[in-house]
Amino acid sequence: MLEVKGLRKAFGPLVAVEGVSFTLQPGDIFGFIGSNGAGKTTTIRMLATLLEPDSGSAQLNGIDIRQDPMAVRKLIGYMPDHFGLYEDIKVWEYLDFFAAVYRVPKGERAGIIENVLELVGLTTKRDAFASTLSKGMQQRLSLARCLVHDPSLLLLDEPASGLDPRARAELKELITELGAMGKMVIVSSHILPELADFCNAVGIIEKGRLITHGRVEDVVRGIQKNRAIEVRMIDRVPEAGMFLHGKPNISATRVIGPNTLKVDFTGEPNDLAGLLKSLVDGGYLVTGFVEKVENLEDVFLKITTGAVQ
Amino acid sequence: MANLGAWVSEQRRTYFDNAGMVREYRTQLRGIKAPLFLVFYSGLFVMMASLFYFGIAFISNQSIAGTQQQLAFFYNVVVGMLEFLVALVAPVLAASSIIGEYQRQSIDLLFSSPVGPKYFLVGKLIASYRYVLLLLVLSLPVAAMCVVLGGATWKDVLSTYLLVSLHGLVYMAISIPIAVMTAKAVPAVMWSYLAGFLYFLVSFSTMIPAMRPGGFNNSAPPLMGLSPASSSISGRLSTEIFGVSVPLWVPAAVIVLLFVRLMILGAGSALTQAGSKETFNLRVTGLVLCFVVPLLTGLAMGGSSRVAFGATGNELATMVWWFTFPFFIFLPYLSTWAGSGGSKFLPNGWWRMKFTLRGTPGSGLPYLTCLLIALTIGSAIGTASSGIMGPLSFVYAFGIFALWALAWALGWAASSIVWRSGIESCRRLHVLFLFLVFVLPGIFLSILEGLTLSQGMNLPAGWSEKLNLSTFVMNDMNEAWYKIVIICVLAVLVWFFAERKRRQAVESMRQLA
Repeated sequence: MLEVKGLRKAFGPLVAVEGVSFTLQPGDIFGFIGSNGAGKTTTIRMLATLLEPDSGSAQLNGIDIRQDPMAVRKLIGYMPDHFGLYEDIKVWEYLDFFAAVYRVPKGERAGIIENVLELVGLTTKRDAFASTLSKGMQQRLSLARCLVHDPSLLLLDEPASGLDPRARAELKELITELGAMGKMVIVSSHILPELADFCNAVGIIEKGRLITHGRVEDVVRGIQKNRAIEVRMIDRVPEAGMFLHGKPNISATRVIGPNTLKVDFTGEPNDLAGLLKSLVDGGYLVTGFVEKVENLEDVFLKITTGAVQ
Repeated sequence: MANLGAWVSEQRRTYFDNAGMVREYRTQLRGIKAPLFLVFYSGLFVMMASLFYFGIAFISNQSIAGTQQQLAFFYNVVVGMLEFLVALVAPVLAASSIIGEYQRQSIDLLFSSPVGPKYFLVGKLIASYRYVLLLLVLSLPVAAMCVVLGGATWKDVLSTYLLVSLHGLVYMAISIPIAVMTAKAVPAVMWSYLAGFLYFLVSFSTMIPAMRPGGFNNSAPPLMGLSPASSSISGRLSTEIFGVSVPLWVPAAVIVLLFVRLMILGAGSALTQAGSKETFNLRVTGLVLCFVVPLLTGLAMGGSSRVAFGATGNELATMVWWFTFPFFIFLPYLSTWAGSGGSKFLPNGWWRMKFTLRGTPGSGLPYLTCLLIALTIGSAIGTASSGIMGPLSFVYAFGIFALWALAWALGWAASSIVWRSGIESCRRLHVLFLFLVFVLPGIFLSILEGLTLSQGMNLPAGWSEKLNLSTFVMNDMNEAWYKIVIICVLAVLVWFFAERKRRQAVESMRQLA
């Protein structure tokens, strides 16, 4: 379990991160969203023990990152937004190097290297030089490096940047698989719809402050105060608007197309069924009744101003 | 016992199973470039040695003694060439392997793994040292020629090679913190060469006693092996330490290893956060060196068996001065503070004894004081047997303290002026201040003295030295004291100005937070 409480980091007069707090459970994939300069990388670097927080704490499986960074490092796999690959080295040598650095016993290294290569789909590239791999493969090799010591927490800073759609899809699949293996994963990214696909928790950061965080649905629900219902009808759309006006749980209605009425609804799912029933009972010929759920991108754009430090 | 086992296993892991070292071994000779370079190096070396040898061999009508002298000279030239090549190659090897990590941004990957900077830096150093050893081994056939022709014995050659490799280790060790701090290839190599040249000059002073008329008896100065200029001679000599005769490479190896440790820890400290064990160990090693070097120097000159050197207090003072001079390089790291870079550089007071070994700005002056105490005790013990220093040693200690205190206060002042721009700006301004206060007046006064002499003006002898605050004429105690008092007053004035500014800075930082 990862427990982050009030992390703060300033560089001189510039406060990069202020009061960031959140909690993750094993299996959580946490999408860390923010504009450039919002404080994502600084937060991730603090969790990776590369930066010393000015105040606050973060505990991974009960170990504090400030008090025992060496013990924490054994439990994390950090993948920065650059690969940091050694060009003159073969794929297995690269993994062997990091396995040794992470104190994996010599006798176990070969087996572990085979396993992680299989997991990331690079078995056939075992003896290739790292510099000859495509960008997507280098990214997967980087991820394999993070896995050689079987960490509990993976910190992936912009892992999808610069990848083509296929490589992105493969990476997404891989991260989902890691979550299913019980690892906690923190992924920072700009590609919001993709994060929504595989993250079960998100945090939105702006100007160093975590504006909101939690389960994706909760975050979206938290922002979307009213349910937006789109009702499609054969005719009499303006009349239907008048009909619904003033009824319980209806805050507003608006005609948004020749056959579409948008209804701002404040009730619960049960009340929604009542709404549909009243329209049908009122003699309106309803052909579609859909609740329009906002996506992560809508939420992000709605609650952030785009301001950076 | 369990702790000892863990320590042994950690040492084995760092020095023998170092992953970085293994990785470098795998890649160092990979590709065509490395073998080509080695062939070129060997060819060049053999060619230069041959040219020189045939230059000697074709001189006709030589006496046997003359020929022997020429062969010994040939051996000296071979060793000199080796020293030159090592000085040229070693800093590049060590600096480039560290800079490579910065350039490919792999340094973050290493420092997010459970290894400390020492592990990483030792791996780099050993891999580079191995390469230097390879170069030395490749040159062995030429050195063997000297043995066959009679210029040297195998024992001379091997101990000289050991000394040359130790000097290579020093050059590499110097370039490591420089590479860590500059993080760029060209500045790192340039500064490393400059620092290596400074080492060459500074270590030259270890030969001073041997250069006096009459030279030395059977015992050479113990630190003479540190000088690259003396390798071919030092390889044949031994020294006396506490009455025991030891080859010169032994004290040289001790000092070099301590120095290497100092440099590795310095680089490690630069890479870590406040209160790291690297900083603590760095400071302890600094103290040990400040004690051991003057102790050995004192033994070299002060021991009753070495009165033959005819050393004077002034000479010892000069030597100790040279040994303490390098600390000026580190002063910007001990004296400056700023609001950036984590708690390591926060201006936490001007005198914090409890932080002396932790390395925050408040510990700078107490640490300098501790260094001075170690230095004075080392010198005092070293010279105790002959008493050649006497009260001068105390004057000298005060002199160094006054200079360090002024230099420290200048760092405090530089920080108070540009602290908002970050720690790097503070250090740069401090270096500028040091240059303006300690170097420029000396240059100016020397030029002025030259001009007055050329104009035939009749001024008292040594007037420029008397005006130069940073030099002490130790034979004149009164003069030394008056300079010390002036420097101390200056230091207090600068500190007073800087301390007021520091308090304002702390207040504004508090408000910003």
